[in-house]
Amino acid sequence: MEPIMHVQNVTRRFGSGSTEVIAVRDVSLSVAPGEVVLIMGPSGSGKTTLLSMLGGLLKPSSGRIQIGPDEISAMDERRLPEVRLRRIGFIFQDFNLLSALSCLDNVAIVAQLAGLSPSQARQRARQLLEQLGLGHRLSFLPEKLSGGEKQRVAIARALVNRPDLIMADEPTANLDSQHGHEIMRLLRRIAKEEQRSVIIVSHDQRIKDIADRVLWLEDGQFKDIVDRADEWRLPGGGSEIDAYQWLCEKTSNIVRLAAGVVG
Amino acid sequence: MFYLAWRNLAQSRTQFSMGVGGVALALLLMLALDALLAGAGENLVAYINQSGADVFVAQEGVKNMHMAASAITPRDVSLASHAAGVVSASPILYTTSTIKAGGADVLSYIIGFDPDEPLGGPQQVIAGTTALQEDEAIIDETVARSRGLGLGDEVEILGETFTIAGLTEGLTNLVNSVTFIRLRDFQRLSGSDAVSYALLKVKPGYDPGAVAVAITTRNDDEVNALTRPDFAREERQLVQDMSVELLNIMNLAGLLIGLAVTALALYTSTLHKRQEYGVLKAIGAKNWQLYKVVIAQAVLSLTLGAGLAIGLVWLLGLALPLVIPNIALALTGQAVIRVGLAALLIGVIAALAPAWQMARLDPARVFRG
Repeated sequence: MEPIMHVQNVTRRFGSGSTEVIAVRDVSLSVAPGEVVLIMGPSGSGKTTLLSMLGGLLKPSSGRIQIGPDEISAMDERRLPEVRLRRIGFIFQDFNLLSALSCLDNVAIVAQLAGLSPSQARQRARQLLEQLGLGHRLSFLPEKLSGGEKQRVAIARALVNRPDLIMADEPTANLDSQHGHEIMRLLRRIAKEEQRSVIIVSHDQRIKDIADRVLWLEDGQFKDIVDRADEWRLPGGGSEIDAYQWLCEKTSNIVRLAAGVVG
Repeated sequence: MFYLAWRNLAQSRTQFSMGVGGVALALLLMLALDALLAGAGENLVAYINQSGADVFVAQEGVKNMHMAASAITPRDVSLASHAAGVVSASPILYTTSTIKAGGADVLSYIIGFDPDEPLGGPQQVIAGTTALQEDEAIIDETVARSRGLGLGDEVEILGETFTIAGLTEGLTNLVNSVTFIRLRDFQRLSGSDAVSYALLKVKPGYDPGAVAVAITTRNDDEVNALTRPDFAREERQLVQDMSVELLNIMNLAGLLIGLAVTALALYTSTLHKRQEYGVLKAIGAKNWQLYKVVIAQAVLSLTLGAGLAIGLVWLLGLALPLVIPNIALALTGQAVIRVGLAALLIGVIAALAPAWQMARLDPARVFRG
């Protein structure tokens, strides 16, 4: 099957000379339609920079990024908003809903940006929100919604223009474990049922089981790529991701312990 | 985008009220002074408008009454009365002076008219008579009320005592009033048989403009004849010419205050919503679509502010004469257009900084939190 996204030797540098930082180094990736790809890695590994480039928000210093037939890395800046609007759906860490608009209008406005009339846009937004179980919350402002509901609105907004690709930046960061899993299962279902590819950037170990593929980014490079996260084992038997999770938990415990001592 | 602009505005009611209120007050400053001067202008021409004359005949070069000295001869009046289409020519003698009423000096136009003539005297008498006898006068009821005077009381006009025999309505303005005495009394006091103006009534079917031109021409240009609307316009123009500097200063002040309030409100709102605009940009909104939000917010604020200002001036126009009878506010179409254009200018300038801010907004920042 033809990949929906093809990334070839992408590098991104910031600064120059002695202050030069290479945030992403020679990264290559292909994403098939309906595939869910999870990109993980420690803070400062280049995940955000990579996601910004994949979403057409940032130009790579070198390399190619292709979504379908469009090479977005070579595309004129003025054409990129159109590609982002029609081919990519974004889901952000902080939900980033427009605080003045209701659930319905938050979704409808994106369809209107793509050229739908207000009534058509609202109709499509209503359908999506009802499918996502938010039919009773259409007129609610974001401040009146729970975290899980906000993220479902964000998912509806990402889907409203029927994009080929969904990019999610830490989609479970502000959700509890139960809602985080719900959201991820929802994303996986959408990916499989509608053949939309999903690229997720996250620290969250709990969601790795919904991914078709987990990529580990460190120092701007993919360290290894495996088909299933649980097949990627460290010599001791556990995966590197599990080791990372273990380290995070230990760090967290140490911080809590220290806080208790100080307190 | 218009809906988003409206929702953004309505989201913070305090900010919205302050923004619209600030704009309204700034535009009110412009509009109220304009209305006050227009009202004064209308009051100033109240006698002319109420006179019932179709044509005013004045001395050559004289086009109005306020601050003007006009003298025409009885022959001029006679010639005018015989012009084609003229029904009658009523002479009046006019000067600006102070009358002593209830122990105070009141600035007033003094008009001497012939009670036997159809025109020249007051057309709206609310008490007493227009058929004046010797040493009788008609004053405006606003002056009479403010000075505690009534019919039968005395006032001093041009150094002589007159008895109030009638009261008029609507002939007092911010600056002065209109007082009527008999032409014969006025001529006796001035020691001359000259008159200031002749007020002509034109036969139905005749064009007052053509009659005025014919009289001016026929009298070898020694007189100047103008139709009532032209004569009133010249009178109003005088007020405008006298107040144009003040009006310009107030307009500029209103414009600058309105600009500052709107620009600050828009800029603050855009700054406050920067993250959200960044999200829209990341999702795929183009710069021009975001500019539309800023422009719509400016248009909404200014339209509401201008509407509020116009409404307030209209209400002031109703309420103010009840409190201060000699003040009138006249809301003119020209003033409304001027305020509308000022609001447009404010909107365009105020939207520049937020638009620039939006154009520079990096959509990738939404991923950086």
